[in-house]
Amino acid sequence: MHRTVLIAEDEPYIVQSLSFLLEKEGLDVEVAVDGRQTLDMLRKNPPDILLLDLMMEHLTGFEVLKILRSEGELKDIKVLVLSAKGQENDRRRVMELGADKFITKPYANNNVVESVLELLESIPH
Amino acid sequence: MTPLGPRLRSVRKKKGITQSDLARSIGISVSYLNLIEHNKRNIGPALVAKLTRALDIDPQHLSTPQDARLIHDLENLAAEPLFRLSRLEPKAPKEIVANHPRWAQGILKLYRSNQACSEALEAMSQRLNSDPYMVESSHQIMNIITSIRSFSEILEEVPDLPDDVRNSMTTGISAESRKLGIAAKSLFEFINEPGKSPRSSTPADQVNDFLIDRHNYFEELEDAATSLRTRIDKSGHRLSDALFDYLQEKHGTKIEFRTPQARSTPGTASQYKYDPKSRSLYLANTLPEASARFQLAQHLFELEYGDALAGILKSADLTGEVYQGALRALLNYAASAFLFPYEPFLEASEKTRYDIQLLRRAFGGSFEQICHRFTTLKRPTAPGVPFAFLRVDPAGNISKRYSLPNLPLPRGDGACPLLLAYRAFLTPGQICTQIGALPEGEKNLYIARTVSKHVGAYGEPDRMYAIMIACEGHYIDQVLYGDHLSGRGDQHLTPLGLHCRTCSRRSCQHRAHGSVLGTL
Repeated sequence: MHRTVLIAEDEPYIVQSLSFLLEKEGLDVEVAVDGRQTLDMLRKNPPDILLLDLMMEHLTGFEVLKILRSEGELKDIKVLVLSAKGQENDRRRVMELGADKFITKPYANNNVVESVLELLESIPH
Repeated sequence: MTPLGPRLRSVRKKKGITQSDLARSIGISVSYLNLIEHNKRNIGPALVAKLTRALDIDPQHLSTPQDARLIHDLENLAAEPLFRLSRLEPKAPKEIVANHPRWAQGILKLYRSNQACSEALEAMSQRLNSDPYMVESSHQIMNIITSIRSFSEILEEVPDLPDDVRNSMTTGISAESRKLGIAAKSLFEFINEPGKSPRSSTPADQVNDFLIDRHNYFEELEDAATSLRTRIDKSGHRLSDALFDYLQEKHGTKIEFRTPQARSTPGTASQYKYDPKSRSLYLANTLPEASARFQLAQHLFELEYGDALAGILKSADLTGEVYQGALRALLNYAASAFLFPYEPFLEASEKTRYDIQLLRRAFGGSFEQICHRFTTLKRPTAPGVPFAFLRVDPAGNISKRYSLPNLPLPRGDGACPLLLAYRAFLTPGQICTQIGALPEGEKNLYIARTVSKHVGAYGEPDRMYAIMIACEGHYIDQVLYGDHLSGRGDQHLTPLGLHCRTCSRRSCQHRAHGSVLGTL
C-alpha cells in the first residue's frame, strides 16, 4: 500500500528537493503552494503525513494546523512542520497546536527523511 | 476621600426628609449638615453612626472602603496624559462614586482595558517597528539556504542521479545563490543605513531619532563653542565669572540668584527662569556651580546662536513638541561643547580611559555633564568611544535617552529591572558597573550612579536620578570601568532585556510582565 505525503510549501526549489527525497523512499507526493490549497487537498484526499511550512499565503501554517486538528477526518494526520521561524515560541506554539514534529530550516535532508519515515511507522496499520 | 456627603444628600431626599429635620434630630446645625452634604466637612464615625441611625440605613450604604479606592482610582485617572487637555473637575470623582458607583466602575474598567490594549499595542509595535523587514528578509534567506543545502546534499550523496535531475538541481543552486547574494546585500544595507530604519512615534523618541540621524555630532555648534570660548575665556578668571561678566556687559543680562521658596509656595520649583522684558535671568542659589555655569552657557548660546539653532532644527523639518525637545537637546549640546572643548576633553578622556571622576576634577563638570559629553565625542576625524546615555528617576520615568543603533535602551514603562540604571538606586552615589547581554546576544558595558539635585528649601525632597552610560563590549579595553569585568567569562554576564513585554527570556526570574512575543 502506497503511503502519501502532502508538501505544503511555497518555495519551488524546496518542493523540488523534498519531492525528490521522498519519492526516492517510495512515497507518493502531492504539493500545495498556499494555506487554502493545502486545506482543500487535505479534505479531498487526506494524506498519511503533511509537511507544513508556516509562512504561506491565504492561510498560515499555524491556521492550517489549527483547522486540521479540529476536523474529525483530518485530526489524525501526522504533521511535520518545516519552518524558517525557528524561535522557541514558534516551536512551542506549533507543538501546542498539535504538530507531531518541528524541524527548523535550513535542515539536513536525512533529518527530514528519517522523521517522515518514523512518523509513518507510528501510524497504526 | 469618601462619597459620604452626596450619598447622604441623595438618601435624605429619597426618604423625603428635610435638611432641618435631619439636623435637628442628630443635634447639629443645618448649615453644618449642608457642608457635610457637599463634602466640605469631614466627619467622624460617631456622627456617621448618628446619621445612619436617623436615616435608618446601614453605615456601609454611605461609604465603604471600596468607594474610597474607587475615588482614588478615578482621581489618578484624571492625571493620565490622555486626559491632560480635558480639564476633568477634581471634585467630580466623589460625586460620581456617590451617585453612580457602577458608572464609576465602568469608566475604570474601560480605561484599564484601553490601557492594556495600548500597552500591548506599544509592545507589539516596538517589535514590529524594529524588525518587520528583518523578519521577512531573514525568512527569505533561510529558505534560500535550505534549497541550496538540500540540493548540495543530494548532488553529493546520490551518485546515480539522472542527468536531467542533476542539471536541474545545479541550475537551482545557481539561481538560489544569486538570490541569496541580493537578499544578503539588501539586509546589510538596511542594517547600515539609519535612514531606512523605522521611525519612532513619541516626541521623545523622535528627538532621539534626530540626534541619531546626526550621529549626535554638530560641527557648527562645536565651532560656535570654540569661537565663544575664545572670546570669553580670560586667563586668571574662573569660567563662571567670565560668563557672568560677558552676559552682563555684552547682553545687559541681570543675573540674580534666588533662594527657592518654601514648598508651600506653588510654582517656585524652577531652577532657572529668564524674563526677556527685563533681561533678568534668575537662578536658584541652591544650584551647584557646575549646574549654574551650564545654565549660563545655555542662555548665552540661546542669545547669540538662536538663529543657528533654529536653522539646524528647520533643516531637520521638526515641529511642535519635537522641535522644543530637540532645541533643549541642542542647547545642552552647545553648553557642553563650550564647557568641555572637544580636543582637550577627548584627549583627557582617552588619557584617563574615561575616568569620570578625574575628568570632573579637570573640567569642573558634574557627573551627568561629563557623561553627556561622552555621547557627543563623534567628530568623524577624531571620534571617542561611542556611548549611549540614560537618565531615569526612582519611579522609572526616563527624562533623557540617547541610544545607539547597536545599543538600544528602554523607552519607558515596563523596562528590564536588571538594567544597571535601576540597580544603581540600591547604592546611591556609588559608581556601579555591569556587563550585560541583550537577548540577541550583544554584550555591552554599563556604568551608572545616582545623582541628587537640590530643588528647594530644607525639608523638600531632592530630585534623584540614575545616570547611566553604556558602550558596546568591544570597547571595554578602552574604558577604565571595564577593567575588573573583562576576561572573567560569561558567569559575570547579566542577562538583560529592554522591556519585559518584548523580551524573549521566558524563564527570567525578574520578569514583571508577560511577553507578547508568543502571540505574534
